[in-house]
Amino acid sequence: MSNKKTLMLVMLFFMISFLSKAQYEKDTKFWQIQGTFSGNIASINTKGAAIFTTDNATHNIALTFKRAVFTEDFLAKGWLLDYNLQSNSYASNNISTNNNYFHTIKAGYFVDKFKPLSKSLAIYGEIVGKVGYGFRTGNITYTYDYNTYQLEAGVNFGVRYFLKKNLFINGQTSLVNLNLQHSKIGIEQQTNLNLNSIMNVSSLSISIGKTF
Amino acid sequence: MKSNIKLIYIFVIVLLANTYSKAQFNAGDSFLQGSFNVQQPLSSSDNFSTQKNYSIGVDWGKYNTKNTARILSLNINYTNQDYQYSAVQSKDLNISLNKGHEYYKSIFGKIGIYGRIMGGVNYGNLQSTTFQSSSSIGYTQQTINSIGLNLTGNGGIMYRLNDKWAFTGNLLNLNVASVGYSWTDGKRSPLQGGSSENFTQKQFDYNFSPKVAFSYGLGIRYIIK
Repeated sequence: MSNKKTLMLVMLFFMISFLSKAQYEKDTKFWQIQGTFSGNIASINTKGAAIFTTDNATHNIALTFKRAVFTEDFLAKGWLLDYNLQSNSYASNNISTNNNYFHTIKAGYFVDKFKPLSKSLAIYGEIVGKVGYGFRTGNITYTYDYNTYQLEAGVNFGVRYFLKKNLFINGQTSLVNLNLQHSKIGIEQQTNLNLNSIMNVSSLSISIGKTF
Repeated sequence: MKSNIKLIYIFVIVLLANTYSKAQFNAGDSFLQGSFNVQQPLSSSDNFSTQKNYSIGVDWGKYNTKNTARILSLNINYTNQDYQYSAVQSKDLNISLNKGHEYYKSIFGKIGIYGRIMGGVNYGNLQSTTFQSSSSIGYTQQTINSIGLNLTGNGGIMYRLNDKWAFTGNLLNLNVASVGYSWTDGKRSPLQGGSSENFTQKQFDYNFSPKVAFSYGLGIRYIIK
């Protein structure tokens, strides 16, 4: 009887160990997505010496797609795509005078190193590099051009929690981020270098993904 | 000697089991949790601004199982701000009612972790007067009413003091999504001469941006058996 119990315990231990490893073992692939949407639409009516109406609208969309494969146990390598759109429009007395769309597209490569803490929970560190390009479209009142070129490198820390056997959510925060941006706005050209450390970080972004 | 060691082991196990059992909740248990905050300057040394804040929060919950509870939460917040030298005043009232679930897991002894996910409605009323000496418009008086729907959450550590009382320490706030609508009635008055103008503003806001932010707070919970 005692032997049976011991055998069952050993089997249970191996099953838990196997499950926790299977999600991070060599050749396992995963993808994940993250999206944020925000904005506002406002209408202002003013009645004074003259009567006029102004309409404003701003929208922000940010999407990230990542895909990776475990090249070793607990070590994944992959690529990512970021797309960010900021739009704003302004109309006075129902006449549209300004309608701008600012697009930023980034592509990058990342390496994740995982450390499982339990069957469903793991922490990970990430190294990521990105290149980006930004441009403007729309009904442009201003005649200047708008283009940005970006180089980005960073170190992130995250937590991965498996909701089901192959469905997970990630909470991730940036530890260090280095961003080099060259902007061409009209005849002006500007280059900025930004270094953000963990001291500036106060929030975690959340994404959802699947292993296969 | 061996007998004594065995007795000590049994004593420690019984003690641990007793401590552990106190960290558990039972299905059917209800609780009330409250918070109250008053912020008021005691001296008039800060003549530039006076801010008074009063807030009250009441949570009622009932455990479905030993790890999950249904929660109903009411929060009222009132802030009165007065910048004496710039004639800026504002009175801000916010009321929110949220319903959701709490998940609890005992981790060690009397200590456990909890997480909440809540959906709710809120109403806000802001009355303000602002003054801009650098603008041709001197005073702007406005009343902003707002209503909204939101999906939020929070999480932290819980310490079970005894069968009746527990302390909660909030560590994280989660904002998932919100939609809101606000309507404003206002009046702009020039500094000298000229006529005033009235304005109305209607605004729709939306936000889907799942993010966790660090936030700290303490709460006291009374468990009703």
